[in-house]
Amino acid sequence: MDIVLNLGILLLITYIFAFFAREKVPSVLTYILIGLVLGRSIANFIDPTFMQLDSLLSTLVLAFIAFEIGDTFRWQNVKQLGIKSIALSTFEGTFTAIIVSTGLMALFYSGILHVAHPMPVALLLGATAAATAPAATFMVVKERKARGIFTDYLLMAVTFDDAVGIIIFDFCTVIARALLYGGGINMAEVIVAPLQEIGYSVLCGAALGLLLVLICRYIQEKEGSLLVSIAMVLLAAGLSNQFGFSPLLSAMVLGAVFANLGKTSKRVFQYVDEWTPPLFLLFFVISGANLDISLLPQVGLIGLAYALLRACGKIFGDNLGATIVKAPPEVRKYLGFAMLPQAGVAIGFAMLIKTMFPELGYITTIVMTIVIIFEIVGPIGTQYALEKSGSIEKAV
Amino acid sequence: MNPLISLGLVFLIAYIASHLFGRFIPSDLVYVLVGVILGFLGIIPESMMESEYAIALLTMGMIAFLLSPFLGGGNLKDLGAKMITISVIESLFTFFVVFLGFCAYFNITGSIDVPSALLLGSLSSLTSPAVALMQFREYGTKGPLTKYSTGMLVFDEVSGLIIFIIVMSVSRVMLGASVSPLRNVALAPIIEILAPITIGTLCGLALSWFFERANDHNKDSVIITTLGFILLTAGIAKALTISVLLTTLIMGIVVVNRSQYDAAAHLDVFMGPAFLIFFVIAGANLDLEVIPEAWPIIIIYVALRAFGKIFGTKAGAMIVGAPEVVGKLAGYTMLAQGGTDIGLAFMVSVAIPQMSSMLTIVLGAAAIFEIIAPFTTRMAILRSGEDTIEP
Repeated sequence: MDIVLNLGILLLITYIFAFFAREKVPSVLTYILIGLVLGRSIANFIDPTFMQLDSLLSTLVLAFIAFEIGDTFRWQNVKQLGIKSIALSTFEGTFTAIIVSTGLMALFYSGILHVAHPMPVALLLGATAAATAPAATFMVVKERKARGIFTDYLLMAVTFDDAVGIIIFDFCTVIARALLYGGGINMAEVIVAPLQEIGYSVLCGAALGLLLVLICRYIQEKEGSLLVSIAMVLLAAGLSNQFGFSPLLSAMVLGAVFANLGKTSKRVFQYVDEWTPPLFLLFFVISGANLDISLLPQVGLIGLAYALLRACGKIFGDNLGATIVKAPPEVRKYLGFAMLPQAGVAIGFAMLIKTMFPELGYITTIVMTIVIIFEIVGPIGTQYALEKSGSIEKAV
Repeated sequence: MNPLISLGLVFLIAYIASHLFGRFIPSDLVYVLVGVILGFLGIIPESMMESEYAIALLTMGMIAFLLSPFLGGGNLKDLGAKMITISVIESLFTFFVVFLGFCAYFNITGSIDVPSALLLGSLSSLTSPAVALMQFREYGTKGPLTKYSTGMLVFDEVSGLIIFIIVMSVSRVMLGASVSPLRNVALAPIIEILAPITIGTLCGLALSWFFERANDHNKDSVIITTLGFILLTAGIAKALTISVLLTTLIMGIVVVNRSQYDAAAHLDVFMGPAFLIFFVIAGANLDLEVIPEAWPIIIIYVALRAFGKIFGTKAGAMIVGAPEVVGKLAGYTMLAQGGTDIGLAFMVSVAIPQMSSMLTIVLGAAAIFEIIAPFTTRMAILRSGEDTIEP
């Protein structure tokens, strides 16, 4: 079928379903499910060209989302919540990783479950469990027009999670490698490598952000500022992809720098916001289409244990973390539910595991399978948390 | 290089260049030149060059849809017949000028080649609307010249296509191909017009129904459904090999007339990026090396075609009694080439092996027109005084 026709039909079908379901479920979920049905697992309707675009598109969409999240990092917001939310997300990320790792290890060593390399498997699964999905979370927040302190906490936390996730993941892979292949643990490597990655991401984003601020001084009109912002987000995403930085962090810093220093930033963020919906729709449909449900029966008990432990880790980790940083009660009660979605970042980690430890390839399958579950349960959890915390204004 | 980086650079460089030079050179030409340079440097990713077709289709579809307000309601009734008449007269006039000119030229050079002259003539009657339409938008033009040119640019594709289809069948017969041409000659024009109207109307009704259903007019819904329908309509038109432009235009007209809702306003945000990419890729795909080989024919073609367009429009405008400004200036907005004509030339050179030079000639001419047309269009806009915005 003609590729343009294919895309047109895809957009319309997805939109129609999302439209009729939107009172009950977040549209992201509809998009993912439509993708699942039309994708390679079932109908195989989607043109293969789009499926191949997956990795570029996901980098790009993550970058756009992070850029828009950067808008929440206006100085007066950060002053109030910045340190607290960083501390909170560091705590809950680490907590989830520890709960999942120790829980799995307990199951392995007590003889309930059997695997070849219990320690490394538990560590690596723990590390991927920390990752969340800013994209899906952000979409639900946007669609439900959620606002308030809970939303601010949530958006900052999901974004910082990426940094925390990278550190934990790098840390765990170094230990796992030492356990599997021998050799000492080079502490410098454990600490320096992730910090480098984060540092470069921030630098890259800040540099592009300053450039954007500078250019926008000379450009006032709508079309120009939109084109230049798109260019900057593309560059942030592309450079991160090329040099192995985090596209999320660099685009977020780009957005934050621009939000704080750019005089026209409020308007520009609105333009970008108008531009992105079709892109996001396509992205979620394709990520749904790429989910391989034939993996589901293979999850087994390890997968189930991993999913349950991760949910516990997130919910209790956020609860404890919020108590420690003295966040408002609604944050303490509901933040964990909002942070259940998992997607691209976790899949990325899973792919890395496959490359680094070929004999532990089944971990990749487990993570990918569980991602299907969290992609479906996650948005519902987020919506539930937003409703309960009173972040959604009643319909006018 | 990572394709995202290249794409980012394309946006940044093209926009900054157009911002810096936009005062002196029309920005679509800046984009084309940036495309030529970046294509030469190999900065434009391969995958983007290949997706030219999809981008062109989408851009064409959006252009036609955004045009529809011009043709909404009374405008269409008042001007429609006149526009079509001018466009038919002007296309036929250009066809005959180029055809007879080349007959004379081939006669002088001693290689009598009627089929080539016929095909060159039919290709010359086609116009690429993007350049003029973008400039109308850029200058925010309003007035009779804008209305007439817009309508004519769109109908031109249809009249040009019909001429081409007839000529193609005739020249095939002349070259001894064993196709029964009569049926095609008789039916093709009817299908060329009826099919777009039918499909465009159906899609337009469906989209306006959508707008009524989604009565909260959520911005995201409007954007997604409109884009979806443009892609759908353009895709169907392409699959049936009927005019994409006319089909989407008719869809837009139906929507404008049936619903009060201004969807075009929301779509505006997509036009900037789409135009930029479209023209940069067009520039990157221009093969400048082909020009030296065939330059005498190219130069004659360009001169004859320009003459045909400008004076054909003048004659047409006089005959139907259009405002003076239309006769005087509209021809200058219709010079661009480099869309359907290249596709058709490509088709000819594949279908009729003797005509393989056709693509070279049309590509060369398109390159020249692509450079001339932005200037002549701008001249026409400024002379007519219909511009409202200082770009």
